[in-house]
Amino acid sequence: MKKITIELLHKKLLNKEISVTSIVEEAIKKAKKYQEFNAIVHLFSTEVLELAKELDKQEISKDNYLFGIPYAIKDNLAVKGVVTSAGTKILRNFIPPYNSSVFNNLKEKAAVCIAKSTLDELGMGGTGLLSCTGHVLNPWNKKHIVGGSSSGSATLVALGVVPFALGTDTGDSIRNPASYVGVVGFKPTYGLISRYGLFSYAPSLDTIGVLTSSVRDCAIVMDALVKEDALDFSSQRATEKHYFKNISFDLSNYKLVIVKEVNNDLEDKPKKLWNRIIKKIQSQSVIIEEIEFPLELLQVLRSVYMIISYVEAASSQSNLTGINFGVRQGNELDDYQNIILKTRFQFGEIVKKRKIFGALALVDSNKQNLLLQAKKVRSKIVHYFEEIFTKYDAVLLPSANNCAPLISDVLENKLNNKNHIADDALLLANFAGSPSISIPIGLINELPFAMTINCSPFKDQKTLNIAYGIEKIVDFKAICPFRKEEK
Amino acid sequence: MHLQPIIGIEIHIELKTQTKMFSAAPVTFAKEPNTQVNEMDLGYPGSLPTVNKQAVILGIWACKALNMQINSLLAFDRKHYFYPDLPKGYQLTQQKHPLGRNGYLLIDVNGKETKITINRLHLEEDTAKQIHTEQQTLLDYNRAGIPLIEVVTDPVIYDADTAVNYIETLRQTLLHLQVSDAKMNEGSMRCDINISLSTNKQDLNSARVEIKNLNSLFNVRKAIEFEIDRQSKLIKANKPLKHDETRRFDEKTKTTILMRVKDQAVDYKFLEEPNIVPISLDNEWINEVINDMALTYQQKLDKYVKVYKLNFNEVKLLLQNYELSQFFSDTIKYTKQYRLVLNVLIGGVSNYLKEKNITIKETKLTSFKLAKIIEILHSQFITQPQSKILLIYLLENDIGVESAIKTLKLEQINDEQTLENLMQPFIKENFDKLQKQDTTKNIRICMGYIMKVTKGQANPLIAQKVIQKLIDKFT
Repeated sequence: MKKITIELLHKKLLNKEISVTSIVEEAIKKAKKYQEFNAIVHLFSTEVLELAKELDKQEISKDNYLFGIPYAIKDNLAVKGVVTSAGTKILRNFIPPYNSSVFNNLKEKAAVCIAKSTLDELGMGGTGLLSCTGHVLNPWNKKHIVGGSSSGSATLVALGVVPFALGTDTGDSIRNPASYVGVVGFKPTYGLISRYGLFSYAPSLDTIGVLTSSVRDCAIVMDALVKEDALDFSSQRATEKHYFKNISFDLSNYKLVIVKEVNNDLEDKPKKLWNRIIKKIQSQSVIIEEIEFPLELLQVLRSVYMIISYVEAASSQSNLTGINFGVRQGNELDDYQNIILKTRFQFGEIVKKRKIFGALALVDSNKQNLLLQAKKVRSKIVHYFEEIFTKYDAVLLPSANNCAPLISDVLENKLNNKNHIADDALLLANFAGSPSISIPIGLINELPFAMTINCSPFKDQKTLNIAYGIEKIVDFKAICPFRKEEK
Repeated sequence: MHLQPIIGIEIHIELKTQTKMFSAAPVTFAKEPNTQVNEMDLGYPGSLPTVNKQAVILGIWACKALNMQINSLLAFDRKHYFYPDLPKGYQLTQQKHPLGRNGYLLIDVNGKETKITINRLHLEEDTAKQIHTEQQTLLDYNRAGIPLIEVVTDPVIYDADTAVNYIETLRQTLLHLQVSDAKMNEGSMRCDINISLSTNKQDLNSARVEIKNLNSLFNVRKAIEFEIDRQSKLIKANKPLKHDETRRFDEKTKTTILMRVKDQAVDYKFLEEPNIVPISLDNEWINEVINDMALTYQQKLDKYVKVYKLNFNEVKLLLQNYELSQFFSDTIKYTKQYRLVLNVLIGGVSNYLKEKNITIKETKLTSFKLAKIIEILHSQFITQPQSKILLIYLLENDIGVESAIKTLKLEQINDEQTLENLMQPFIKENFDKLQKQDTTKNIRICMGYIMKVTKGQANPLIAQKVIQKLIDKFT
């Protein structure tokens, strides 16, 4: 697997071994080569090549690692003047007249956005099969899903098209696809990265984050993205800075912990791999203890998530009516109600279901029992979760209960019978607004399997450092130097 | 059977801010449609609300003026319904934590002080404006997102007089605080009247009719009178309303027209706005905001009558015109001649404005210049009739007071020698005639002459002194 990293490209640029133009050309070439994976909804070409030429005329700054580095942006993040449709038919003609703050921040660093990447419709679904532009395929095995909803972003990093991509994470939408394709996926603390320009799914949970092929690269991109933004009222000032400068793999001062109930939920193969990796880390004299977490709280994680996120989605996406923007359906004889109804019929089945459920949970007669109850349980879960960090530095969780399932199994609904605590545990970080990073730790059936490292809110540096330490011990690249097709 | 009307009033008032409630787009009136908007006002995906601090400040002022308890927790809720004028699919409002609660406004109904209790005051945003043509409905988002306060009374109003009086007093109160322009005809103040009829004031169980969007005091009165009459007839015919209704007032027929029967309560599915983390307002900051507040209508009335010793009815006349009252308070920064300023403003200035049908802002007069005119008049440097000429001239011309006096040749001639020189030839010529008449008449004739030759510029006191001297000398 020819993974490219920001660090390496930056070094080559500094040494004048390569030019920005050649990097960008190479990225576009690869993007076209891997078209069949359907990871891209819009590929920039001429305009970014011109930009690359301009950048080549400029002096590259030693400290600006993102100078001239190509990246992909998830298509639910606004880019001015370019169709941004968030994977939904209603928005396939929508051209925002504004940039997302993250896009502006990367532009300031002279990073080059080469593609808008595919996502499950409006960030909902988590399979990579739910975009209105079709299925995204897993680079390791095209018969398997990539997960989602940041499906295209994860795939493009895994394919080595770009060294980094932006994603968004409401339930596990960065970490899930990152784990299924064996890349690093980081959901930082809620509020550190401005959400301005992110098409809302569930605003109290939505977090923008980064997909890269190394933890160190992740720190580089974080340095550019973490910035207080007056346009986002939930934006918060970071207590840390210079993530890359302060990155360190030394784990000797940390106390880590694993959760018994979550590990018990793993199937045989993943459990074996998980236990082996935990032992391997412990063998480096790193403290990892096991704790218990109230099972009944873990079992309701998904329900709580469904109620809160579906309610917020039903509300936040009420703007998609076709009245003053978007693809309007209906004819001249239709009144406004029919126009809105017909327009909203364009939503995919999953989105429709979630909206109906969300609206139902918000009506007066259900609100107390569903929404308000879910909010209470969320606080309770967060309380227990944060309690862990009074004694430990990080919680290690499997990123999923297994490797990526088969597309056919997902489509035939063979997996929906049971939800797994090991899958749902990723929600803990969304509920708490805390940092969580997924890094690959091995292969199962020649498909990647990953671990998330979770710390308390605003301990993003610690999260990156522990991830870096574990990344070094695990040495995923050594385990699987080549993807199947490149063998 | 005696039927008691019970009335509650909800009023939406546009706040006078530079920018919108949750976006940085400008707040304007009558600009080209859809030019005063940004992505937030259009409900575009990815846009996020920010809170307009000035709107919160004005809201706090309104709360204070209405004697309300101010809520230090600033939080907003989404009120959901699908309608073309609502770009986000919800309106941001304060359902759960209104900015103000439990206040009152004292009003003067035919000399009797009446207390109107106010249940709540909350901040929210305006919707887009719909313009219906024969073929289509057009949308203007310039209005979308303009900050509003909604002021809701308890059902404590029992007749049209009191209702109209409350609305007008509230309007004056908010206008004098500069919380709003409060122009009913321009829609910056809109009234919804809730009215039901029952056998006594405590019975609130009868079906209630809401009359939406009344845009003048006249219409408020007519709508209430019509509704009382209509509902009385229905009750007397033993056909009382079964359900609450929403109606509108038709200006042509002066009747109310049914819009919707509220047989089911609308569920707005209120949801706390997740994009605005609730803000705990610092009490010290709230106090600072209140300290910066302008005087209320009532405070001005009290102060002008008690401290400046001005006539109650004249002050009321002044305060009815906000711009004029603002001109008054600006002018008295430069002169202490309160009574003269008041008289000029409600006299000469008001008459002039009425005649030309303009506002004081459209004239060339400034408060500083008016103060100067008043001071000159007070020192008797010019006469009353002269001051009127000067005032009109300064209303119409952008020129300094001194220059105007020179141009108009209104300077008094106070120099005795000058007057004597002007007078002497006349007395010499008419010496015979003057001798035959009595002194009083002589002085009058001479005064007439001197005023004529000086075009009224002669200081009358000094002129009289000079004439007396000359007459004594010659006779």
